[in-house]
Amino acid sequence: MKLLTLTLENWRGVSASHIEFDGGVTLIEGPNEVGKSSLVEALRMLFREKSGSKKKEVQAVQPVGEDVGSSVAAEVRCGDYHFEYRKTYNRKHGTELRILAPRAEQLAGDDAHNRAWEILSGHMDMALWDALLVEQGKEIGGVRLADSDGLARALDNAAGGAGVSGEESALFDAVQAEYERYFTLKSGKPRYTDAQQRVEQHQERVQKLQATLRDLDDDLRRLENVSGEIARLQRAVPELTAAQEQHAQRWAAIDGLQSRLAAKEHDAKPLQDLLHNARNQWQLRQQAAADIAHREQQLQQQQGALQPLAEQVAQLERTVQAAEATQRELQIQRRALQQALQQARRDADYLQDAAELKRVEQLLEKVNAQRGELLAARETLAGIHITRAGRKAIQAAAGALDVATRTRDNAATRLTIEAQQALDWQLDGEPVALRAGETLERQVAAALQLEIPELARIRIAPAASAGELLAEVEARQQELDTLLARFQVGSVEQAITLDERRVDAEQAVNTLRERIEDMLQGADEASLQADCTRLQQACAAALQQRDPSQPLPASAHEAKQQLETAGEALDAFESELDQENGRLEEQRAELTRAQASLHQASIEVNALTSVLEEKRNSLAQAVEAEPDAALEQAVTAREQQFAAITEELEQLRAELQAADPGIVKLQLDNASHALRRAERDIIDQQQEQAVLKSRLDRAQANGLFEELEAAEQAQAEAEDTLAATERRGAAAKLLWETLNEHRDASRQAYVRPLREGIQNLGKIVFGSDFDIALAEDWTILSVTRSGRTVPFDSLSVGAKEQLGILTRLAAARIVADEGGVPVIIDDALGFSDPSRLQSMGAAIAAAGRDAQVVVLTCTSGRFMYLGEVGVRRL
Amino acid sequence: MKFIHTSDWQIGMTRAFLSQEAAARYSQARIDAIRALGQLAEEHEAGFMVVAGDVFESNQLSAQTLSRALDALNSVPVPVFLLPGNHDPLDASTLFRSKAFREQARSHIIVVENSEPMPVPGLANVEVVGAPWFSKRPGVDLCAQALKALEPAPGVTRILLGHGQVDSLSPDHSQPGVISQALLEQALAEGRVQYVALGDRHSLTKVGSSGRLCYSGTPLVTDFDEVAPNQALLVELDNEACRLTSLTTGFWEFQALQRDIDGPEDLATFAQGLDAVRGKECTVLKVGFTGSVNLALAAQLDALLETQSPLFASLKRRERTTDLAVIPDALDDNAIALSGYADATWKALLARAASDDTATDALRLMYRLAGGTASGAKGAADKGRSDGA
Repeated sequence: MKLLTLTLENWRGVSASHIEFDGGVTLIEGPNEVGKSSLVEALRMLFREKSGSKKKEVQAVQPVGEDVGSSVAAEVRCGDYHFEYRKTYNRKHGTELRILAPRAEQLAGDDAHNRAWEILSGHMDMALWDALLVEQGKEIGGVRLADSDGLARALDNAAGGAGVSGEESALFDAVQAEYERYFTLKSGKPRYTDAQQRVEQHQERVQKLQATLRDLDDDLRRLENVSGEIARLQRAVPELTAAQEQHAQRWAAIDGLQSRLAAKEHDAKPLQDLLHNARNQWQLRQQAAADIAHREQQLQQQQGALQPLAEQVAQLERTVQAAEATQRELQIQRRALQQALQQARRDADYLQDAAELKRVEQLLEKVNAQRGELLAARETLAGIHITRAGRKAIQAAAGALDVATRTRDNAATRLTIEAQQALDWQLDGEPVALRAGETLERQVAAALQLEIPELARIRIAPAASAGELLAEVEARQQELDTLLARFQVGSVEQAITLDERRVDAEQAVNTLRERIEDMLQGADEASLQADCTRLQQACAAALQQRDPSQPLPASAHEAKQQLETAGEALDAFESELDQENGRLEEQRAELTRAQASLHQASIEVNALTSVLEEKRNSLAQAVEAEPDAALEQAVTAREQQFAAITEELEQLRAELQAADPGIVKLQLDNASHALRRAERDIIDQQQEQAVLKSRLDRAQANGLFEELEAAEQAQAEAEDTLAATERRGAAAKLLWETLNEHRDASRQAYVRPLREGIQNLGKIVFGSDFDIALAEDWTILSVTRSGRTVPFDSLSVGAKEQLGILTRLAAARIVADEGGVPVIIDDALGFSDPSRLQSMGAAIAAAGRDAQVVVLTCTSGRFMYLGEVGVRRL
Repeated sequence: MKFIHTSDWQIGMTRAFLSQEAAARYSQARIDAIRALGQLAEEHEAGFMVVAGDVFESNQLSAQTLSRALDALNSVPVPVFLLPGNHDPLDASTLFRSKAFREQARSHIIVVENSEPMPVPGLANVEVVGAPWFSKRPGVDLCAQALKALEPAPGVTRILLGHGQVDSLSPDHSQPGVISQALLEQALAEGRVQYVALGDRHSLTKVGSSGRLCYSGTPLVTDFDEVAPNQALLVELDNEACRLTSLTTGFWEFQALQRDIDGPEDLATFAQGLDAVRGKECTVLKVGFTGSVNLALAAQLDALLETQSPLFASLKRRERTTDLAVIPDALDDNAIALSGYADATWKALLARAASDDTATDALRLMYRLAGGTASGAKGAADKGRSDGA
């Protein structure tokens, strides 16, 4: 479609406007509010809205405050058609269509609108028209073109398709509509579930009716069976009754026989008892006689046994007496042996005691000697007072004195007088004679007065310290003297000597004491002395007691031997005596037993004798009362009576057995049961018959059969309907799916040319490395520039707008060959910078070579870069 | 002496292949047949009418059906002997003893309840001897039993009324209820009975050579395989002669057809045949198609059946015997010039159609939706109901 002219009157703020369009790009410039946007709006409305429309958007085009109609008129070339189309809205609304070619036509009103719509929609895709139209104020972005048939056609061409009939879209819609008759579009669920349910309901109903009819049929069959069974049973009853009566008669005969037998058995019972009684008495009599005989024999045997027992006892008594005599002799012998042993033991003791006595005496003697020495040593010690500590103290005091003396002497003024000739003089009043050559040395410890007679008196005084030293010496001397006095020694040397002597004496005492203790070996002298005394007495007593005729054993050894010999002799004799004793005891026990046996045997004989006597008496009494012959006779009589009645019984029993009561009873019982059962069965079956009959009565004229037939017919119809629906549904589904599949595949093929178109235009705007990715529904997914790929949504508003316009231009360029639609760009690119505007201008111009582009702008400079363009100013 | 021999009224029968509307008319037709028989009896001056079994389709009929049948029976101007058959045996649920029957049936309606000879009211020396069914499974030849118990009655004309298959026609001789033809013929030959009126076969059938042993067939067709339905017999017994005349009682038709369709000529012939059918509203057709057709022809056939079926009581394809291959051809392709993905879709379905009936259906649907219709069968494009039938 190409727009040739567009004329507006009284359209919003525009009172009149007329534009002639170029075949390529038409740029319409004008300031805001001059009516550019109204041009687009009017164009849309002209094609879409009927002139009589009362829509709010239609009413909105009326100029404010003016009561006039708003008109829009366009001259359009569309396929073979060339027409002028005019509409007036609101006041005095109306539509006019004047077709100039191919055939002149003139229409008005809705006819005109419909005809125009028919022509337009026959040649162009109104959806694409909308998609490509950018209205001021509407969001600009990626545009979905997927539903556009025109674009599809163009893309089909571009993709090298076989050409489009132009009805594919219509076919697709039809197929989808058909699919939607059977399935929901979103989830693909069948829409004919109600038909399925209907079939199920019918099936259920049919099954239910069939079951009811089957039950009815079963009842009928059952009733037939039951009725037949009742008839059969009723026929059988008389037969069963006859049989039962026959068996009952036979049983009555047997019953009589059984009563007679029972009576006879009752009679036989006392007879049998009497016979039994007689036999018992006779038997008891015989038993009593036999018992007595037996007892006599027994007594004889017992008496015979008594004599040997008495003899045995006498023999044993004698033996025991002899043994007792022997016993006494042996006792005497033992006493002698015991005495000999005692003597031997005493001798041994004596010898032992004598030896011990001797030893003790010697020991005591030695101890006494040592005691004498010990006494002497102790006396020595008693005379010495010095102790070891004392000696050391004395020696220390002497040493100290010596030191003090020397100290004094050394400190003292030394006076040496050498006599050059013999000289007598006095020293401190004391005469001193020196010969020639002799020297006298003196220390001046105290004031010293030397007087050489007649010659000189020399007084020498010691220094002051000499007095202290002298005092020290005196103190030491005093200490020493005190110690010597204390330990009663005359001098230091004596102290030493005495101390040494003390040590020696103490050693001697110790040595002696030890030696005495060794000798005593733990015993004390007093006890030894006592032992000695005791032993002396023992020995003396032993010698006194002893038979002097008997020689003493020579030695202790011999005594011991004699003792052992005597002990052995006694032991040997004791064991012999023990044996002898044992033998005696046995003999005594045997005797006792023999005596007891004899005693027991005598008691038994006595008892037997008395019992036998009693029995004999008792038998004699019985025989006297009733003699044996009488008893025997009674037995015979009873036996005869009993034999007679037994014979009668046997006869009756034989008769009964011949009648076979067991089988007759069995048959009778069986016949009775069979009859009863038949009667009971008849009642049961009649009851069931009644139940079935009443049930069947109720089922009469119930119309079940017809209901079933109707239900089956309905089921068949529902099944047919469902099967047909399912089959049509399956066909529609397959067709729809296959069509979708191929449409998607072909669309996928169309994406490439569209992408190339956008890319080619985009290179002009965004540079030579510009690339885009398109989704299957032809929206832009992402853009690649200068090696960077950005999602469409992340692009700037300007870039989005530019890409949106490029997409439309590219689509229009592809569509153009097929007639296409004008691309109207209204006041776009407000967000683009000058360099981008320049390149967009170039891209729009390039697109304009193939498709009609109308650019509306209020900013005349914005599209100054458009080259091939017809400019209109409003 | 004249009487009408009829049987197998099957009152209450319905047919699943009939629509509700047709089913109602069909049921009514069975009642109407009773009245028709009454009129025929009057026309031909028949003395009475015998119905040889299966008066009712079942013992479980609705009170309404029974009342309507009795109403029609009451209008018959001559005595009517009704024999219980295998469908309506004299068992505990029998309709013949129901309260409704007892109360509504007039005295000239006589139910044969045993094999005692029954005099015909108003006719001297004529007796009807029946062999009624007492259950659906008789253990013996009921006719033979009735004959056996029959005391000779010289000078009396006797008509034996029986139901079931005679052994010469029954495929299964071992069935205990099968009727011995020889015994019947022997009874006829001996003059113990003068005519044997049989029921159970729905086609009028003369059995043997006696000329007195017949099945009257049903007065109204019940199935496709019936040879001579819609009739009753007028029997005339005079002295030694027996004359049989068949009377038309119904005008419904059940037809099973088989047609080979390989080209437009075959379809045209079939269409002419349909068009020529008279009384379509009482005609039931089932047609089996064989051969192979293109989509255009298939659409034509669909359209033909679609337009014709409302005219008939029933017009259906016989699925069992239909083997019509629908093979799209170049003509079809031309009829709907497809392009682009639609064309690709068409070809893909075509490839599948050889082995997939659904694909064939899808092609037919696409053919229709794409506007490719057979000339003169424009209606097919707008329908959606019968194209899958």
